Amino acid sequence: MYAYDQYDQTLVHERARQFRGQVARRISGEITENEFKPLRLQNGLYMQLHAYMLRVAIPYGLLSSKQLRTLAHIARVYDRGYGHFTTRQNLQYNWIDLKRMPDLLDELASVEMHAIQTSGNCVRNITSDPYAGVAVDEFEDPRPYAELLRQWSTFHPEFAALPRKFKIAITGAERDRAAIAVHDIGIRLVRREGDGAVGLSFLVGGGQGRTPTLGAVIRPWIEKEHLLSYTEAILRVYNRFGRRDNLFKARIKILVKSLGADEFARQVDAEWERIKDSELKLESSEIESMKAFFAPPSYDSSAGGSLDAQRLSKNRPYARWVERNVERHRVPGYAIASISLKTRDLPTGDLTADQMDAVAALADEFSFGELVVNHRQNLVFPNVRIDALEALWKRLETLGLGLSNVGTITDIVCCPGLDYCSLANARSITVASALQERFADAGRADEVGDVTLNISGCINACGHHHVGNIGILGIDKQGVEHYQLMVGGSHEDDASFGKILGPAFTQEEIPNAVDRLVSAYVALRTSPEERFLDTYRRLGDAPFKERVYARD
Amino acid sequence: MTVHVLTANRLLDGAPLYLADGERWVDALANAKVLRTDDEREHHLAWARAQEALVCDPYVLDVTETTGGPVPTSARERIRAGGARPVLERLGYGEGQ
Repeated sequence: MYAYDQYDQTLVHERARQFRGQVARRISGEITENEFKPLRLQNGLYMQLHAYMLRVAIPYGLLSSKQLRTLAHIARVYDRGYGHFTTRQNLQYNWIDLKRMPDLLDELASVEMHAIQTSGNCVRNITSDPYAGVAVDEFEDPRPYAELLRQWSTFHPEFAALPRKFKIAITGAERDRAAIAVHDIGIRLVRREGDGAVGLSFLVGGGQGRTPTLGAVIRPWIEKEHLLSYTEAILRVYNRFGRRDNLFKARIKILVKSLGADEFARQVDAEWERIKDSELKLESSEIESMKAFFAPPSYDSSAGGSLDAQRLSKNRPYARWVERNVERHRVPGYAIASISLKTRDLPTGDLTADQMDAVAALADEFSFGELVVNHRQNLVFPNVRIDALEALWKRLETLGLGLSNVGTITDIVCCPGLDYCSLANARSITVASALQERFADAGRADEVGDVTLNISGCINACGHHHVGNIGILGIDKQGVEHYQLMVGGSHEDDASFGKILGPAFTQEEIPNAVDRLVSAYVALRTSPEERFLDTYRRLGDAPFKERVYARD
Repeated sequence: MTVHVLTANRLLDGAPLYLADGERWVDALANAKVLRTDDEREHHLAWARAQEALVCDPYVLDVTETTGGPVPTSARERIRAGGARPVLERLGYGEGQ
């Protein structure tokens, strides 16, 4: 993974020192709250319902075991002993003390981490494919480019005060695991038709929230050397013409829609012509030296075994874990293992400090000391020997982290919701817990098969409910928490947004509604091989609506 | 009938606070001063905005009066007023630090 040089290290230490001064001046009254707030936000510190929340940046979700140990230490010493992994591959702490924030930032800086630009109207964390570097279907590893984008966007002076937040995702595989279609900019490493040269495809204007929109391709292929200049051109057009008069119409998707994708592309191209040969143009040596940071680990060429054989293991619970949580790796003898953070003991996506330490130790032992946070609030060990999988699973089981539910109905993605968030209208974690309880039987979850379930506590959609096969949106109906049930979303290459099925449900009613929905799927599918989403797309919502809303 | 109280977040840790009689900040909504007129609300809000040494982002929230004290009309403010402990217990973290 990328290792800080002296400039990077100085930058994060200086930022922490600067923020220390800003906190002191806020507390002493030398600066007002209005002056302090944008500074606080640009260091990732939010004011929530009960306390300050800090969002730590985990660039493209990649963590070393050393960094995870520091995150555990911070949870213990500066918070209440746990953290929450988010749908943008970051980590959140929920109970931060303002006076202690500067010390916390120093601790992060000591392990090449920070909370820079994880909030505010600026370019946020660059996210990517959690299987980057190891996926079987990868054209080219997107991480060097993600890191180049991170460095370009950090403290970019021109884009420190955009009309609104800005989210960029990049992927380099045939299958999109970075949800690029619902990002402000989605970048894809693609092969050009004809000569097959790998370049960059740019989608712009995707997003969720109040006006879910799929990104439009404005540049199907451009040389990799133009990664930064082309991205800069997009940001410049947005920065100039994005709306600043209305918070709810300030994202780039609104600008792209109002201009039309073709006109937006024309304006970007015109701007790009002016800057394409500037210092933003990447030399091949820059790209190569960045790639060197992401060189593969020292794989053991004698590592063997097959996942098929593991799936036939007589240890049936282990075999089930392989079936659900483990994927093929591009290197023979290795596998990609997911650790589900969707237990019933803790809220989805949470990990205690002790668990973080234990997972860090496992990463050292089983995955070359690295792990990745994915968009579904689970962790990934990208490089596990197939012949070590069973040993890993046994250790995970002792930690309560051996759950075999990746991709099933209990692999729920859920925002913090009204238990924490001052933007939320309803509690989301409570609903997730109730659903995990309702579908606790592994046989039932297996029967339902592949399905994504996403819950958001408000329309800001941090739980990505629009792109869940089943989406649940919390609303406030006359002061009482209610939940809209949506069906048919997808975050993959066949990206689509879910449709509201019917009237909203109370908190007590929603588990039953979901139960009826998946029971309807089981009854209506052509075979167990037809996934939930495919049955819904085949039949439309009428038969589902009828069953979900049927009076007993 | 909907009346109001004034609330803010404590600067140092973000905890919810409510304005009580005598221009004191309290952490229990039950002890908050009920504001009934526009003049009262505007006067106290202006005062609260000047208390930046202690609090951030004061605002007025809707409550109804009950025998147990003012109760917010929104789920959000009810959960906020309930404090950290019920949240931590509900989420499986016990009493926390």
